[in-house]
Amino acid sequence: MLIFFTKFYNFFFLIITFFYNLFPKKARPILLLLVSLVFFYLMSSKLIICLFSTITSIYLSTILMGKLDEKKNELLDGKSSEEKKQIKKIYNRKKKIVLIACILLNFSFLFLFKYLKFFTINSNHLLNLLNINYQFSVLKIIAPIGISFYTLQALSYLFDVYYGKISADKNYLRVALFISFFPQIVEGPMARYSDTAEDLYKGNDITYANFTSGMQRILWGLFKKMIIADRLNILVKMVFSGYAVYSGPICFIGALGYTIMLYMNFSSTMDIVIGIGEILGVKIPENFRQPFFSKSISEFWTRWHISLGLWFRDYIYYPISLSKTMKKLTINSRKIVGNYFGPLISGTIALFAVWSLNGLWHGAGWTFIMFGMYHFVMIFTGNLFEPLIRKTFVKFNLDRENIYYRIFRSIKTSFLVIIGELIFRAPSVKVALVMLKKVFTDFNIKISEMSSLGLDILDYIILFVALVLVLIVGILREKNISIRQEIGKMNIIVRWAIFYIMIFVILIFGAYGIGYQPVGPMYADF
Amino acid sequence: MKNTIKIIMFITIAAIIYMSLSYLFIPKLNIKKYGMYNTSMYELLAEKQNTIDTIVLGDSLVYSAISPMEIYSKHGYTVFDCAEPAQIMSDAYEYYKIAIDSQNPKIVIIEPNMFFRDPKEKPWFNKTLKILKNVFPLVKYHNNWKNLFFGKNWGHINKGYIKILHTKSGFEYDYMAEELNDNPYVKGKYKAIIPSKNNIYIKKIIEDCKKRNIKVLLLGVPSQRCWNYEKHKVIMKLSKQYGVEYINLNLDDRIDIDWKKETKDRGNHLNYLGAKKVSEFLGNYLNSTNIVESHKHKKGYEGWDQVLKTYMKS
Repeated sequence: MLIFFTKFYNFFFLIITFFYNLFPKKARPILLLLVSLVFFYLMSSKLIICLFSTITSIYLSTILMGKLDEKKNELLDGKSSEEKKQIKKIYNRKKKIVLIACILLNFSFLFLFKYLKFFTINSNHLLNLLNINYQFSVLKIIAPIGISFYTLQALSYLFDVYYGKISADKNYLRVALFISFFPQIVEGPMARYSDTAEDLYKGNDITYANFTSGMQRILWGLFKKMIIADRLNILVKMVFSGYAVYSGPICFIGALGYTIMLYMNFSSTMDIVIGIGEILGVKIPENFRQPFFSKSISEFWTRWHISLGLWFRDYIYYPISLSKTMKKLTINSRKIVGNYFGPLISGTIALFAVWSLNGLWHGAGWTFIMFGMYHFVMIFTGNLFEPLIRKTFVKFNLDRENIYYRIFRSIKTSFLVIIGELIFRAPSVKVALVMLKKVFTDFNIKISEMSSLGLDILDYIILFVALVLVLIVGILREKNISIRQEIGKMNIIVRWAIFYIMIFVILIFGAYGIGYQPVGPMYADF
Repeated sequence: MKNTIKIIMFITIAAIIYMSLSYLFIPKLNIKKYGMYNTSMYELLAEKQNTIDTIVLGDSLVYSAISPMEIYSKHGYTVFDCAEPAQIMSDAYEYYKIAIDSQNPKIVIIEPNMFFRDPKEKPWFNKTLKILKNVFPLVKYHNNWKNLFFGKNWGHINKGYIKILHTKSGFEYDYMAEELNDNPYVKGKYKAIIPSKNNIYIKKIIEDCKKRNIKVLLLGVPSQRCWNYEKHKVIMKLSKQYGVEYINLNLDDRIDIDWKKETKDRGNHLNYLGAKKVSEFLGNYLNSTNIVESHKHKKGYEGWDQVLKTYMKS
């Protein structure tokens, strides 16, 4: 899968880059759409029908919603306020039916391909426990590539039309291209319609400036993936497959390695996607913003997989916490537990829904549900103790923005994230618990174990140097310094020397070829 | 126009740097006439001339199952896997000729699964892979930076073997039974026909070996997907026809593959655990032939000793 994925991805990227400008402007979106559909077909074959169903159902539903709105507005003209209320009620209900029908259709695909197996297996376990002599047959189904990404991205357009944030687009091609654009469909980021649809359809020329800027971003992504992520893959596989024989510190190193690998791999994919976007003149939104500088878990999730966090915030958290029932609950609870804890109750209910779904979105498995619940508990605990911490700082006249305290908070957050990722990566809840127990009880450090993790001292040196470089780049970005702009100001010799060094460092020190197994697109199956 | 010139200049300089680095990284222990491109296409050519005792011809079954460094580690015999994915007989013959030209093997082992492969069947990606190997020698040998910067340039670390650590369990059924029912891999009747074009190359290799006084062993490597009893019967007949030794590890009691743990892809290829077993068997077999001798710590084989250290760490 990985080999085909990489080949097809690269192949289509080259096709687009070389031939895009040769096509007339009007034909370019069609070219992009065709390439995206062919890519999808090559990866998922007949399951392309699921993609078409999503595109068509979303397109028709939004058009219908738009028509209902037009009709409603026509009818509202010259009516009394009571009549207006009645008309609005009828048409809003109709819109809601369309919305729910479309959501159900698209979630049914998601359920069938991602969750049916999990629910069948667990139902069978339950039947066993209840001594009922019946077992459901477990269907082996392969999911279409990127189903979780394109479904959520498509639904974001549906919701935005439903809430009246944007109008329904009557151009089927534009909707189809927005949902199926091949660099994004595999791992996101899940853009909003207002972010990319228009730019993708414009078919702007690939300019020299866009091309070089995009290629620089892609190069940085390749550096992170090939030098760091693919190298760490060896260590991570060793620890998570042989966790039983490793000590607590090594299990922690495995989890740390996995967290870094996940970040490097996922963010590098985003660099490549955003780079391709830049080449085509499309501004694809950022999905990462130096997450390991976060001071709390909730801040972490505003910097890590940003598009997913925003999706859950806008389409799950807000609709629940701002619903009539929750508003009533908040008003009542304010009277009992005060102004801080009052809204916290409805917020926590919405938070629980978000993290249950977030866990499930990441995968159909108990470890993913545990991963979601872990984050819910961490964020909830943070919210619960916030007033106490604030008071303590005021009482002892301490500065919360003190640099040392900020570093401490970032380290604490990173530690909590690593523990969460250990749960995420573990093959089962049982393994996760065994590894966690080791991490927190077995402190017997065996240096010799480090040499048995598949990497030699030279690999560790390469990793260290590359990570320091990534850290420096992160610090500069945090200070709003754009490295690419800074390099752009240098004279051509220095500038080119930097690019050549980057290219050949990746080619020589990249962890590829015999003895290495590159990390696949981790979220592609999601 | 200015930008086009810039792009052309950038690519040209990159190509010059690339070629220069390729010369730096490619092992240069073998005969010069093959040049660096062939060295990257045929990994054996990265080996010092006349240092390999045993070559193994075959397809992916070979490079998944036989780890020459495991054999060298225990016995000191120098083995090299001259294998390519989905290798067809004409290519295997080509590789054999190149191997014979640069090495002086005492034993040639042939994995017969490739005998059954359609000579026209060559997945497009294999062709692409070969072209890429040819065009990108630096990509092939980039890992030599460890040797180049921190030691001498010793050639290939795995000697043609590809180490795969992960496991994807195979099925529990007797795939070598004379009558097969419910074979999860093959639907319908089993086919075990050697295409006539392949017979020409089989004959060429075996006869050339005999002429050079090289022992030939037909060695069936364990694979639930590739092997069945029909194929075994055909190869048995073939071995008698040519008077060469034939061992099929799919039937042999001396090796017991645990298909739950020792395969990387549901019984098609072995993983490292399975490869260790096959390599151990092969090491013992070579020992029993009294044809090859240990080269461990001997002059001229420092490269193997050096590579072994790296291999043991990996």
